[in-house]
Amino acid sequence: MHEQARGKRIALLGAALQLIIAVVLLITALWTGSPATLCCALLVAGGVLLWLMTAILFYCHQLQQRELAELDDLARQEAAAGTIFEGDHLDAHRQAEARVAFVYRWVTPAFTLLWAALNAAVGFWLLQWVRGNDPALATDAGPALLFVVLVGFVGFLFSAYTLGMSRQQIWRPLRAPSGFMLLGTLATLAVVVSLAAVAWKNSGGVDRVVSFILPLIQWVLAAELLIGFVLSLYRPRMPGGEDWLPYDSRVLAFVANPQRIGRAIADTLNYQFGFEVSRTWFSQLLAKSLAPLLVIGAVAMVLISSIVIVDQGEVAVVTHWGEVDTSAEPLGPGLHMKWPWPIDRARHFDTRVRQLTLGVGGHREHRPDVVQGGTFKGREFALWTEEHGEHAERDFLVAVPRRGHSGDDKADDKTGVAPSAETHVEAAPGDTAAADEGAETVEGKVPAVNVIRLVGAVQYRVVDPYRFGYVYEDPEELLSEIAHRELIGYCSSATLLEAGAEPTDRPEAIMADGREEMVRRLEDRIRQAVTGGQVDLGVEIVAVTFRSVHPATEAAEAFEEVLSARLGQEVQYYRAMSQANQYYVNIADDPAVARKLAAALKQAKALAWLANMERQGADVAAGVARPLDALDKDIQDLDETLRRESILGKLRGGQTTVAVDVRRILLAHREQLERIRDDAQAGRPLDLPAKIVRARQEVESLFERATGEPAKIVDKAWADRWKLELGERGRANAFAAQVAADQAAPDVYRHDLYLDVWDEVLPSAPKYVIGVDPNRIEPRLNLEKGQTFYDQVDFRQATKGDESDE
Amino acid sequence: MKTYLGLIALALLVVVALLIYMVTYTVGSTELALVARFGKVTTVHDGRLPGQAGLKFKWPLIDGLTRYDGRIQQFEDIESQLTTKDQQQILVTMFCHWRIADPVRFYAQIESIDKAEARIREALVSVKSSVLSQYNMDQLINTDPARMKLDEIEQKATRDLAAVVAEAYGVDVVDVGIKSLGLTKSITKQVIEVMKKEREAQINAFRAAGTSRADKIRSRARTASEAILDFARLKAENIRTQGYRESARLYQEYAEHPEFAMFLRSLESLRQELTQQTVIFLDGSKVPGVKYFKETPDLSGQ
Repeated sequence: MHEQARGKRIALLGAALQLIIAVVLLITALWTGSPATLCCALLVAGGVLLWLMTAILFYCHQLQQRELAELDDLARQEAAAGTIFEGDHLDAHRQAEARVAFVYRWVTPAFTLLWAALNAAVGFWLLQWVRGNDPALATDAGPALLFVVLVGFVGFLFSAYTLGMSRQQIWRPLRAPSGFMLLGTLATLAVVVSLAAVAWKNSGGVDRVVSFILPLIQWVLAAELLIGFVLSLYRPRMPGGEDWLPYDSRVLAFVANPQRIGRAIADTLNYQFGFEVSRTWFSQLLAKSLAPLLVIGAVAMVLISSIVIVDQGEVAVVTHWGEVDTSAEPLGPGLHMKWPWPIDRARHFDTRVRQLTLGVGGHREHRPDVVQGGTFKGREFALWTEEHGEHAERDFLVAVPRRGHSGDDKADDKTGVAPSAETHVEAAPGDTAAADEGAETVEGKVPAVNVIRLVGAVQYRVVDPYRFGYVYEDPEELLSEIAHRELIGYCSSATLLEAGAEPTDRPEAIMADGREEMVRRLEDRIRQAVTGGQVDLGVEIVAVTFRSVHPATEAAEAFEEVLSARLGQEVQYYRAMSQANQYYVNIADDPAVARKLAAALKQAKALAWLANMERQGADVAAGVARPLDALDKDIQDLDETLRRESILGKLRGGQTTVAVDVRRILLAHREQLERIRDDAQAGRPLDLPAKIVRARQEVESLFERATGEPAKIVDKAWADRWKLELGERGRANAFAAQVAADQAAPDVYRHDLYLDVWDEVLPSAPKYVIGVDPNRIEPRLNLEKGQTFYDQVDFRQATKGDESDE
Repeated sequence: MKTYLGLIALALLVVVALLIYMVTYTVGSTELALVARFGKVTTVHDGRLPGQAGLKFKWPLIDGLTRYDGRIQQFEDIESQLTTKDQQQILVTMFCHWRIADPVRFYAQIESIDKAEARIREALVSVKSSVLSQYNMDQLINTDPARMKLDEIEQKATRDLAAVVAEAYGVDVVDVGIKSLGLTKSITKQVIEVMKKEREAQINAFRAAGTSRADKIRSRARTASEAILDFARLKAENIRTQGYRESARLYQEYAEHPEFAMFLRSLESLRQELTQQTVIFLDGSKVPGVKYFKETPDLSGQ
């Protein structure tokens, strides 16, 4: 009787423990969303019924024992009283025994069917649910895991203990629930493994497998019980044979035989820990103080959930029953108290600067035929002509400036480009000039746009968690969308390289010097779009940056060629400058002198020309215009040179160059001409001759310094001059003497002079002495150039009938 | 039995907690909650409104609870190819921000956020193509910001979309905007070709401009140096003229004996002329001594 009572107590305890395990598993399942945990929880929950059934059995047996004892007493009393009625009337009192028989005959089979059906149904439902559901799992299952491990361990110890008890005939009914509990703890172990995989490996694979296996086990169990039940109907009853409870699974009994697997696990545990775990003071203490421990654990959890720890760089918002109090300041870094879960909940917001990338799509598709930018000698490089970056860059469309748009022409002049170079495409609606390359397609005309790539980033910070977290479902995505909208709106009116002369609202030269302006304006636009007015994301835009702005990869080469052409232009310029310098050096060692001299000459000529006009009575004031124009052009050219010199740093620190000097002179000349014009208009005397004289003096003084070719010419002239004069003078002096000689002996002197000439000339001349009659000789002269002297003469005997070849 | 009292209390506690869980619910500040008894909506809480969020009670089992996220939702539609008014092909992606305005209607008409999003997305695709077909390409992209109509397009799309879905599903279309504008692959290719051609024209212009400027610089220098040299030559002539003038004065000496002076001058010329390339033929019969080459001289005397 005592044993039966103990069995009943154990069974009730088992039911309570099984329930606790099930609830812990259920809470964990709800927390983590893990299907395997839910399956396990339902599996374990079923065990409660088994324990209760077992408790009922023990209770019936207990009553039966008590009744037997009472009947024994009664029999003894009656025997002592010598009653003649034996047996029969006592049988009528054996109600408890009849109840036990009833229970074994009807209740346990019914329970078996119910139990099998329940398992089958739950298994079926779970399988259905698991197949249709693959939820995202929470990865913060750490604390829950601890509880699961704890209750699983307690369950294991308890089941091992009760399985040991059930080996005694009297406690045999304990075998079914204990075996099932052991199955539950094994399932719990599987759940622990799957949760750990989720928590630390972020892998839901184990969970999924377990969530399929557990319902299948329930099915197997149900099938086994059902088959066993049917077979037991036809089983011959052997008297004295032990009845196997119909809901006691053979498979489980086999699995749970403490001498087999259960023992093996206990041994493994003991071996692992190096001592008898199941007999240590700890497990004993655990068994005794389980309830207090659980209570303490629960209290600790409640306390922990009343504390909010906010890290540096974070704020937290506390909701009370889900309600946000926007009038309260969000919690700053530090320790804060709140109502425990589930009354108050805290949500943390990272307030550090975050970054959002603009202008990229998904990951770049790998194309082996496209050269990809990457690393070279350990350095990352990003070239226009090669696809680069981790993500595929999006195309952005920018407008093409229209012909004749104000400012463009001037801009083009500045860069020295013909005005239509950039702007051959018309954007006017319906104008077919948009496709002046003849590029019409089936799909339509080529639109007047350029395609560029832009990669940028928006850096922002959460400043108002109430707006950031509680008004928008996905504020980061929202920000990205709005930033892209602003980017598109801004770029759609942008130009790439060309800047207008006058400042306008439209973005210009975003690929060149307009980039800074673009970044500034975009930042303003995005800031206005997300902080003021209609959309208020509760963020602060810290900065907008652009990592790259470049043409589409396919067109990049052409853009680079433009730059190289621009450089080529420079090369041509400097080559021409050096050739020009050669001309000047030819004039004077110092090219400055040459240039100043040229300027002075021009001015002198202009003055002379004006003086001529004045003499002829023409309109001098109008006439000045021409030399003034010429001067202006020269000055403009010089300005261009000066601009370059200043870029090259030649003009820094008050340094002067040739160009600066010459420019000063030209300005003075212009001033003089302008004054003449003013004087002429006012009718004042012009005094041109004096000016001409001064101009000539200037020319002369500069000419003195022209040491090159001009000096040579002048020197030669001087030499010629003196040679001529001195030669003539010498001849004149000799003449007087010759006249005297002639007068003394005219014939002799003249013959003498005559023969002197022959003496002088004849020795060097080739001479032919002709020995035949000269009349018979016909000299022929070949006067072609290049013939030696002797070849020129060809003597032929002029015989009769002899015809010449020539 | 006493030893297990704690456990039993704990189990009871769990049961009580479950019970409480079944009869209460909370409405968050971002949530919309509908309580429906046997499918009929009896209570609506809009947590976005002041005082509506918090802890609420309901009957277990018979009262069903449905919650919706009341925050502004967003999605992007597909990148679809559209035709503008001027027959240009363009790829446009739009985004849409919306939220549930009337939870009861939403519950009755569409039930879930996912379904609603699918419907709104469908509607947006059609609204998008009809709105964009009313605008020209140059109203999307233009160097003149005043002529661009992107804002107008977005506003119109918002209005049109709201007209289709707002009443029908009890939602509020907050904003519709353009997330990306692009061209189809083949047109992109052509645009890039055009870009290349433009650049080529620019390159040629640069080259031509460079050449002409260089020519200008050179010719300017050449002209300047020619002018100076001309000036030098002029000066040289002047100097020479001076020499001539001097020698002219000396000629007066000759005037007194002109015939002799002419004779001298002719001799001078003769000397000059005969010095070069002169071939002289001498008549052998006239030159004494030549005859001895022809005939042996009579040594015995004439």
